[in-house]
Amino acid sequence: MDSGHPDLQRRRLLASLLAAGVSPQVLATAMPEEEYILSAQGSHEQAYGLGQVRRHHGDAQSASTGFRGHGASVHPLKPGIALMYSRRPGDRCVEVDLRTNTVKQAFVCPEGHHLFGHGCFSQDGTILFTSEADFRSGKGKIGIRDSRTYQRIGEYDSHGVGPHEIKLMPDGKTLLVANGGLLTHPKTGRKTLNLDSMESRLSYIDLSKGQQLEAFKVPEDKASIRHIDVASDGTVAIATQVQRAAMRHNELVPLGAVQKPGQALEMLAEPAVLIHHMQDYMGSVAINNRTRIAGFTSPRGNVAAFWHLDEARFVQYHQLHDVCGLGVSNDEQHFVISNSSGQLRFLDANTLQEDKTKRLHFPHMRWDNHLLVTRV
Amino acid sequence: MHKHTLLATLIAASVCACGGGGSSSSGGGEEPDTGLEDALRLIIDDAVLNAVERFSTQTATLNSRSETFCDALSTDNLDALQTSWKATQMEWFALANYNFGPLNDDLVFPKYTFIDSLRLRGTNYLESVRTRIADNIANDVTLDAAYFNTQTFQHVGLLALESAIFETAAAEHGQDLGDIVAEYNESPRKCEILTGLAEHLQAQSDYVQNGWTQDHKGTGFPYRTLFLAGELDDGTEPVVQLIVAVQQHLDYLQKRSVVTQSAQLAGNAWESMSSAIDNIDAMLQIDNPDAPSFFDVMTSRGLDTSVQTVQQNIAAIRQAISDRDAAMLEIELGKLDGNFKREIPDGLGVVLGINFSDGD
Repeated sequence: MDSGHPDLQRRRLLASLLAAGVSPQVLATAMPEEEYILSAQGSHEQAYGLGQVRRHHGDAQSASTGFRGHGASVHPLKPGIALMYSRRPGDRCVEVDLRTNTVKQAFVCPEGHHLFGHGCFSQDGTILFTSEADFRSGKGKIGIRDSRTYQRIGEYDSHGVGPHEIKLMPDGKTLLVANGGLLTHPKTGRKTLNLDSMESRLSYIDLSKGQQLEAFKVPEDKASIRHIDVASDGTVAIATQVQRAAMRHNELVPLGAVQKPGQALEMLAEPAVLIHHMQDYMGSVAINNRTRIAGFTSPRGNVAAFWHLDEARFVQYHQLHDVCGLGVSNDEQHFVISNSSGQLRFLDANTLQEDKTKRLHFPHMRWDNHLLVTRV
Repeated sequence: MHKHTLLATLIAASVCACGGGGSSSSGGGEEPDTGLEDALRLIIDDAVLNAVERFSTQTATLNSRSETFCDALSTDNLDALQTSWKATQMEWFALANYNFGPLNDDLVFPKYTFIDSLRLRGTNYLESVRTRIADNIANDVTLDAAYFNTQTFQHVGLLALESAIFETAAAEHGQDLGDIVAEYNESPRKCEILTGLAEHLQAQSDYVQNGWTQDHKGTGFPYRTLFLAGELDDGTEPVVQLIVAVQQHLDYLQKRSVVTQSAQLAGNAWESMSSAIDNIDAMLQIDNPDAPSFFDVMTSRGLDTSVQTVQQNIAAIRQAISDRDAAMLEIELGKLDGNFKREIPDGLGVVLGINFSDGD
């Protein structure tokens, strides 16, 4: 009676091919892909893991990791494999097989280093970069590893303090680093140790030599550039978090910005009331290349807000309690947002209106800071 | 019609589920029925809706007395008008504890900012208000409802009315009752400003009252019904919405030094502060045989020490108000603010959200 269901068809086909002696590896590359939504999740140590939702199944499960994750990446050379990076000041990264929902292997930072929860791959997929701190010197680092073995090859200076999200630019030769400027040390947990002297910058780094090509700052010294996304043409969207306690003024500070290739940062200063509502905090940013719209989430403001990249023009907002995870569906038709109550909502990428028929809710899941939509 | 019926069914189902289950908002597994849902319903009906009604009544009185004053300019009528403004301000401070729903249903143009411009960011727009009033006395712009509806939030609401009622628009901004009445006599357009502002404030209040009791944003349902059914647009759990709103008001009262910023011309900032705290205190310990209070729920969960902590902090705030000690008030408000982030949600078994409280 369910013979028409694509999942059942897929399972039957898989079973018959396996029975016929076709290897799982061959099957993995031959079978049609399906859309997965990945996010670190959990609210306590026993529950922490990499959560995954299979869109067409409508189910959710979590691969237990024992530590709180932050960002995730899909491995470009290992089908069905994703990495989850521990949140600062953690030092672990796990490799998760999405098909079996198991942790396959893990690596830890060198002694004296910790992670910041983000990483990315080189254009050919052979190198993994991670944002790290050498907490003995206080310097930001970019860890460099063989993406197949995770053996450490070397490191670059991040050219700042507290590198957070990192992204490969479309040229494949430049690494974009959000140097948040916040100094922390594992002994003092997540406490910021340099609020008075913090300096955040957006650094463009030459991947062949590790040299900083260009660096940009936002006008407010106490705005920490933490999260970034890059459009296919190299336009960058950045999301900041303002360290209000360290500021000497009480003025409203724009939280988002856009930078077109070769141009200065353009702050997203309007609408002021909405930006005030975000309470100095943006948690994620994602660009939809099809519509040229960038989304930003603020869990403190319970809102996802959207600006057009080309005109830096505010477009729309959507309210969702404790929203933070933000991504773009594989077909680029929707923005996907998540929250810590286990909810997932899909916003039309043109109108930014929610398609309520697509709502998903997994009450046992606590979607954390970031969300990634991928095909497996 | 179909959508309407579906929503009604959902709400009915949710209300049934709320009444029977005693569900935990933490989602952290089965918890005993502590009566939290009943406590929440009681708070909405006794504390929140009463605050909405009282503010509505006072804005209507203020509007009426503005007309009375302008019909018969006298120091007695001005005195009555000033008394009415003070009462409205005090009721506003009680209602402002619950800055959600119709008060705050548009993130770009939220209603509350058109009532109290200070509430947005603690920015005092008095000079801007004074300039606008002086300009409008001097120019010939038509001062009708359409005009006031197009004004930005800085130029309307309680602050604009305070300036119009408690001081002259002339450069010295005198506060003598006779001088103020004389200015109204000399500048009839000032009465158009006063009545226009009072009508505009009442329109904001009417919107809030209608949203809570009749129809919220065209849904066909009062916000009260949607709230208690857990059918909020942004998916926030009702109890979380309530706790966070009160906490944010306390944060605002503390960080924006409101007793030295608000109602300075009228001179009733301390009384307004008392109104806010009295309302919070009453909300936490409503005495009703049909449902427990928040304090009752916390006690039933074995957290009576947390209840005592909150009560002590409220008492300390009252003492600081009584002493007119702004520095001490700031400290004590900070403690109660912290109670709404930790002791109270923990005591009720409520999780406010992991990203909200601990993001990166």
